[in-house]
Amino acid sequence: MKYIYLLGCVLLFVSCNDELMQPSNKPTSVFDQMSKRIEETYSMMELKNLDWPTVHKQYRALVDDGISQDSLFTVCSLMLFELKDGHCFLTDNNGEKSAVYDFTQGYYVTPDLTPALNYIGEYKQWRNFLITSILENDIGYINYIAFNKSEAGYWQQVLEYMKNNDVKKIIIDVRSNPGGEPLIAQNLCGYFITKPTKVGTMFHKSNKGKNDFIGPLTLTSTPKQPYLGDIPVILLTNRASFSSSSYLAGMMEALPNVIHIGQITGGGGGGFLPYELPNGWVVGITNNYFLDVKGKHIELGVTPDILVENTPEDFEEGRDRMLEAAISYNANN
Amino acid sequence: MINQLLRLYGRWLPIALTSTCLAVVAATAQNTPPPAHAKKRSIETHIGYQNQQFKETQQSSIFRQANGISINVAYTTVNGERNQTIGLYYSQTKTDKNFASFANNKFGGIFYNHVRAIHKNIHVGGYADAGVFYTYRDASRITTLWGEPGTNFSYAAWSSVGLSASFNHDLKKNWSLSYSVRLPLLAYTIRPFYVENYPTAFLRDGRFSFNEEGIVKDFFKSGKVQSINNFMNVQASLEILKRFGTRQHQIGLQYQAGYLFFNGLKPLANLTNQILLTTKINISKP
Repeated sequence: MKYIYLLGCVLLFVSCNDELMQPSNKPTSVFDQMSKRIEETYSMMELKNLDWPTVHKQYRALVDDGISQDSLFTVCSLMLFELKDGHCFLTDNNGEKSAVYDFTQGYYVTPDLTPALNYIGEYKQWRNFLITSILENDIGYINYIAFNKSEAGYWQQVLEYMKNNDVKKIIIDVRSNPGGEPLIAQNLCGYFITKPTKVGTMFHKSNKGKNDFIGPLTLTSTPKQPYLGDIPVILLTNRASFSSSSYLAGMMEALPNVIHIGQITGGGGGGFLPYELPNGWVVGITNNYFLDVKGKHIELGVTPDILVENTPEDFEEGRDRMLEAAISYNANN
Repeated sequence: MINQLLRLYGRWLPIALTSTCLAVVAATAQNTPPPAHAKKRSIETHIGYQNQQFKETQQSSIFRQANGISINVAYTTVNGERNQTIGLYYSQTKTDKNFASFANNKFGGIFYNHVRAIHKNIHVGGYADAGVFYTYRDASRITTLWGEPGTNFSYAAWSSVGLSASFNHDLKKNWSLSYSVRLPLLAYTIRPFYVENYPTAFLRDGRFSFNEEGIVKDFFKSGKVQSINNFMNVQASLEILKRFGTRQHQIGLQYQAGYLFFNGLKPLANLTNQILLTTKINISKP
């Protein structure tokens, strides 16, 4: 009989785990849970030069259990913005209120791309996210609006269309493209290479310690058809080119015939997982990161080879200096 | 109130039931010869309501409650003292929508149970099973400037062997009461990395692709052998049945409590409570 009791005791204790306790949904608990989650899982603390316990202490002083939910949301959002990461977000129970860091702060981004229409003339739209045009001097122009997985297959048709029009140069315009599926960026590089090419590396958070990562894990693009030959490819970006747009800019650094023109990208060089807080809010925290082939982070933005920016006056006048630079770029000069 | 109690103490319920049952088995299984049985075959179905209190520490800071349906099917053969059952179980539950994200859980598997009679009412033996707990968190109502970022999934899979026991007691007027428990001893568990849903082996090979090629193979390579300190899947059930018809079919109700627990970097706890309508159709020739 004593063995039965012994077995019972073992069973009672083996499944103990502090993480499986139920935290309260009081404001201090919500704040602490969110801060702990950030400290343990955020993958680019060192890059951002953050000492998280100090940040925690600074904002924790503003929270007590009498604080309203609105004020708590504001304090938690401000703490989140210390990461300066456009992938990290906080949302309330209904998803009606969201807080996301504005990574375009300090940069001028044109409200829309209408000035570009003055240059591209008649264009062809491929469902919702791809616009193409054949410009003078056999320049192929592709405006990619978002990295949408369901429409990724159209890239092959678009590039066949370009090949059939015998273009001598291609402009891929991802300005104000907020990103989406990063696989598309990896695949897209495949149309401009003739052999498998390393386009970057990934690191994934593997445990709670600040140096606990798995990596480097090599990302390789494989050649895809149609191959358009060794023609110049110009990638056009602005500060609102985020996430997968930055991945594309970072990956294309590995391709010798690609030139990057425009404004620094918005960064967003990681992926994230959402996490439920005790009061029903959800916080998303970046838990991995990407490095280009030179070992550079893309999180803070990918700097173009040729820096060109539009001004508010340009926008008023319908002028697009970035696109002008891309059109006039001559690879032989 | 009941939910709070279940979250706080419910995880001990199947363990307490297990210990109780083992104690009963030990106390009553003394030198009583098992009776001889004729060979019988039956098909069991259990359909009913399932409540889950679950927490995955990498997706949530709290236990959440999910409700849904549960369906179990089993084929049993009784041959003399031996009793063998092979079966499938599946449940599908959903959390309430008071949170920004709501979870859809799928919990299913296959099992084989082999017990021998050590007393006219008591069977003990072992079992083997394989199962998966899959959660899809739908957060499509969360939107940011750059899309709908909240939706994700997670999973835990296992294959285990362990001990099982059952106690059957005949009541008056064709009624019977049975009580059974299963306790794993050794398991092969598959659970993704700390904050990623990619299989562990997929990230360990030094390569990576968003294309996720070869992810299925790496999923199966990602497992670890665990024992009761890192894996537990205790199930206990209490069943009351009434025999009817010339072929002694049975119908009744079953209460089932279960506690699934994965320890390690990405702990998971899932307490289930089920009320099931049970039918046992005897398919042996009279």
